[in-house]
Amino acid sequence: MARTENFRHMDILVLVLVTILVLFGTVMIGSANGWVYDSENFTLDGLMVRQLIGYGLGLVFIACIQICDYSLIKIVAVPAYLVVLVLLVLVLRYGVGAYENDDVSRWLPIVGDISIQPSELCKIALTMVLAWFFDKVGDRINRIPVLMGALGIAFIPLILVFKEPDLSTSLVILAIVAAILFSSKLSWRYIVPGLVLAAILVVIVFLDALSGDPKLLGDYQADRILAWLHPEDYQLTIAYQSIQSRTAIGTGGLYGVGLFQNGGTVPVPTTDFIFGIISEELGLIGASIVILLFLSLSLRILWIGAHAEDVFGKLVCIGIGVMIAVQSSIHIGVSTAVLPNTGLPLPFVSYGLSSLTANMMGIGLVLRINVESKKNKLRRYGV
Amino acid sequence: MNKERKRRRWRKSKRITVITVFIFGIFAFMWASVYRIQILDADLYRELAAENTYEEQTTSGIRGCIYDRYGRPLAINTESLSLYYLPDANHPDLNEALVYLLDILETNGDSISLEQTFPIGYDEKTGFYYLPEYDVGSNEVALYNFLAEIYNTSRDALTYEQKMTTAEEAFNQLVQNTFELPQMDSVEKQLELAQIRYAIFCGRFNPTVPVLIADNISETTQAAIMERRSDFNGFTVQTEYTREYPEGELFAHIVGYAGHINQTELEEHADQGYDANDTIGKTGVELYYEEQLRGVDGTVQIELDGDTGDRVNETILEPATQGNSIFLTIDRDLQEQAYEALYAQIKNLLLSKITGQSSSTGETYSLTDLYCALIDNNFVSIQTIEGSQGEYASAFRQTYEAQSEYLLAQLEESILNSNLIFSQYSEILQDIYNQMIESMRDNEHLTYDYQNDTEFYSEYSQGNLTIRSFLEYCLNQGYIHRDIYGLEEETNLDVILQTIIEQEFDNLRRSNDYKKCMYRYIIENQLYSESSFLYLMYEEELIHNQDGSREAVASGNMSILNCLIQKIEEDEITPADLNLDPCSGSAVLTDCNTGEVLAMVSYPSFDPNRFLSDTAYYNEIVQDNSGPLTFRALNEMRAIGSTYKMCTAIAGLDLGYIDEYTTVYDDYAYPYVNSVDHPTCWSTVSHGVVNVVTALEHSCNYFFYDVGYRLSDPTADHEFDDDVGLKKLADYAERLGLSTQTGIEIGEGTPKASDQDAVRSAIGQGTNAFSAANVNRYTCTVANGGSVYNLFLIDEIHSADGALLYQTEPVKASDTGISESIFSIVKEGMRLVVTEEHAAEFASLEAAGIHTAGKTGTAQEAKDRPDHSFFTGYASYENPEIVATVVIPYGGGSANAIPVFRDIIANYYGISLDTEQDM
Repeated sequence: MARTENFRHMDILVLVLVTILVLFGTVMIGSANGWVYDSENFTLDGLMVRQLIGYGLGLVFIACIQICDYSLIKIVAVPAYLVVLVLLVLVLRYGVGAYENDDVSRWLPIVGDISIQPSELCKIALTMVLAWFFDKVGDRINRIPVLMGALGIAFIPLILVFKEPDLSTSLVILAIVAAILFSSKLSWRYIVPGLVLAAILVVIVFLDALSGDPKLLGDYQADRILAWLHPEDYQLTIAYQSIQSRTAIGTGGLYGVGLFQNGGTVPVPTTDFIFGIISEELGLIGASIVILLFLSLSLRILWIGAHAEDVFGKLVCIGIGVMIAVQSSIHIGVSTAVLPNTGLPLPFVSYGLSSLTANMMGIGLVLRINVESKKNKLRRYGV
Repeated sequence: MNKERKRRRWRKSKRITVITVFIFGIFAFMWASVYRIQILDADLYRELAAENTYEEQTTSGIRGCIYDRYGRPLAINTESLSLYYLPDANHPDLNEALVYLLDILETNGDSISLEQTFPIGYDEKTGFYYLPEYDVGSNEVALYNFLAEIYNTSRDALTYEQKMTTAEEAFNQLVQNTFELPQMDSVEKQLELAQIRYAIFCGRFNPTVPVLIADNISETTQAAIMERRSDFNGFTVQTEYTREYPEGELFAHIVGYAGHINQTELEEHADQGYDANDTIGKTGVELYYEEQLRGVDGTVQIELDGDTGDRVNETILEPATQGNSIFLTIDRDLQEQAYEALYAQIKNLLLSKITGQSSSTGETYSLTDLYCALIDNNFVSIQTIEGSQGEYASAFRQTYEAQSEYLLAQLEESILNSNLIFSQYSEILQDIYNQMIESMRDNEHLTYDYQNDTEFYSEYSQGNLTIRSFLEYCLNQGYIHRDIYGLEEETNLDVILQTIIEQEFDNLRRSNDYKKCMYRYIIENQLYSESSFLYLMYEEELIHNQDGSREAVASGNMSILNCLIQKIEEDEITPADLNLDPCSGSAVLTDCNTGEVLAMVSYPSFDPNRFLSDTAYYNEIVQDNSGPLTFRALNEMRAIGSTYKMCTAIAGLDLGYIDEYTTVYDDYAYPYVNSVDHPTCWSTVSHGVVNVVTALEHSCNYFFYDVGYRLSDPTADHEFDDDVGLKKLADYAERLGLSTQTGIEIGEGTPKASDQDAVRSAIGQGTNAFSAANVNRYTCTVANGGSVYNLFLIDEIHSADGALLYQTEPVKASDTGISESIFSIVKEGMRLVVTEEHAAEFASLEAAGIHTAGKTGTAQEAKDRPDHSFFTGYASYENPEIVATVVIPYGGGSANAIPVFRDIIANYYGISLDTEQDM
């Protein structure tokens, strides 16, 4: 009985925002893949069907998380983290890229054509385990050994993801870790030197990329940074995608060229550049609505975090809220050629089952945390 | 406490507020960048979109040409336009575009040409049928794969009904369901539409590889397609160079042919920049000199107007190149004369054997033999008989139906309801039954590994069992797979056997081999009259009545046999069509002082032009049992008979086992080996006392048996060692350049020196196996007195602009180190072959002042077939310049190759002979 009660306290706004994003994304995936709405002969494109299946699967995950005991979720954090570490090691060994002969290993084949992307799961699992850790250590956070432990927990998966190589997901993970550290009781005496160190690192990385013979970065990553700085030199190679996408967005104007009317020039339109398709077809109006939806969703999640009763819940919400905000911003930045081309999906919108289900699991956690704080509040006020 | 809590919450909330502000910030920044692109810079991008776009296209490289030694063209290029479709383009309404395309093609007199075979054929008389390659009897898997495709399922998931789909049903399924084609106004049009869709469908796994739709299209078609570019999204017209071989079958083997690169070749040459549209050499010089001949594709950048999509400008980024030209050492005229002389002699030999009497050893042929041969080698093919509505073909077919059903019923009755053991069955029923078992094995309905079950099998194979007991045994042992027949549950043996037999009979009824067997049976037993079969050939236009022969037969002025003889004389039916002995041969002519090849021919041959463009012809050639694709001169390895004797003689003389005065008395049967089955001389009349020269003259086996025997170092008590003699013979075969590869540039078979029976090997039998080219090279060594030259047929290679890049220098592979005097002795014997033993055949040549020397050869390969005929020799005797070798397998004895040799030599010296007394 107590379990079904959980559903009553669920935050409808978050669920509605996510559903709008997924359904809207599915239509845009179809459009990017050449599908056109036809009321007479209505069929769905294969990718759309798969994306909807992913959404259904995500809903099942959300429901499962809701009926779990709150303490169980905390307990699961550590094993989930360990499983993800194993998957990250496996993907380095057996993983494949998106295309044949791709020299990257991001997908781990499971059975048949089903494969998972451990880096997507990693974001959620790492958020959970860091929240669990800071929940456990409480006020001892500013002790050096504790802080070292936290950094250890964070950097092992970060390095594994970086080695795939998946620079963009590494950046998102870095943002999550930074946000969680910042919002736990970390003293400013660590934060300030940390920021300075980060700034120095960024400068070093850029200098390394510009040196022509990168030692820290792979050639692949150095080239992308160079292409971002000097797109005109790379307009037929690696900057090509960003420039194509930016041009398509430009043709969209205020109202867009119309739904399903894209010119087919946006590269990888169902995943890495779906924002390009959205802006081309629906113009600034459509793009603004999408940005507003993401803003609302991440702020609502942060609000839930601010009202959470325990440190675990608070930090999980902050991690997930920041993840959604940072990842969607990077995606938009890449699509508009403001950021280097890193190949990152737009959460809930881009095609990709691993990404969609992992993100929805995160939403499940947020909802569960919200339910818990509402229940506690009700209990306190004796209703 | 409460105060403390509040304070902490406030502090943390403050940090959340920082994060909130940060998030607001990044979203605001991103929105601003979108706003800048879409609103502030909108004009810039609108211009960009309207700007001209660039497209890169490939231009085909031009393949180098091949010429004879005097620059006469053997392989050239003709320019043509081809239409392709890229499956990747996913045309939104492909059917509509194709209907319109067919219209354009028809208006301009062009037609489609697809590389994908469409499994269903159609003609007005018979309706739809499956092509032979998709025949259930011969290729069940291919048909089921096709059916699985049209039913959109897997081969294993096909139901029995689906497997039994007739060609017409399959076609309708394809039209209505698989491709949802619009109704066309004629069946032919409908078929064309389905063929194109099927070809594109088959390209789905490689969607970036363009599918050829039509080649050799007119410029008006090209213009019509370019005019409506937007309707033909995904279609491209490309200029292509088609390979043409002006000399056709004359150079089919040497020059070879080049065609569209296939998947395997693409993978093999992955690092050499070939694409799916390229041409690549497949055989002969085209294959072996691919690197020289190949023209590398270029790229051209095409500028398209941003608004209209019209071509504005073209820039060549990388020019297409033309490959190098190759000049052969072959003289086209000598090649033609050699081919004609060889063909004429094979034809004469065949004609001389058509007596109307049949013989078990293939000495003579009856009319029935000829008819059966024509059916066997598809001259009168099953498809012709079945696809015709002609009076005679229909009658033949009806006879077949009746006989076939009658015999099958008889066989079924005998199997199910009699106690006859297999050997008591009539011959034809045995044949049918064996075919049924063969087809069951081929289709894996029966998997009987009899090697592990010898006892039962030997009983069975001796014919001592009833068929019923055999089938029952196989069922019990699980060798026959019941599930194939849907009999998993059935227990009644009679029902089981009947079901199996009936289903297998159904398979037989669709099998070409079975049909051929039945039609032969009908001919052999004269169940269809001899004259009707002749008229059937006229009716199907396989032979023609331009000579009035049909009326002559009808009025009784000409016998059927003579009519057929006349058709062979007139070349309407060729020896290759009949595939009766002899039907093949090869001839080689080289310069004996350099090794350069002047002519090298092989009969039967094929026309590479038609082979590449005409599917029906392609199938005909591939299925032709006479083997037109084999280059016999280089690859047909056989025992060479007495032409080997020079080698034996040289070995004996050089090693001192004999000298020019050593004599032997020819006693017919050589007594010292094989006490029961002594080797014998070919002539039962003794050659008397012979020495090495006269032994070569008469080709006396006895003398050379004795040399072979001596070479094996017999001891006093006549025990000898084969291996000792064989080793010496093999050593000399190698030193003389007989048993080593000739070094020719276009690939050749591997010669083999005999490793059994030294005595018989000494006359060229044993396991000796050499090609005409091997023999020719060895005769060169003898003729020039001991230098072994590699054979070569590439003379020069020129770049496209005419610069000489390469010229072949003769390669002397080795020096035999054998004294000149030994060669003189052997040559004296070879001269006597011409002046004494075969003086009559060579009289005309001698009279013209051309003195030749040579050696005949007769080799027996099969007891029930005629002997092979060989001749190898050189001219002139006094001053050796050229060597020619002629091989006519199953030609029936030594002298039969001589006329070809003589004509080749005469042609080389430009002499025309009076060849009235050829035979």
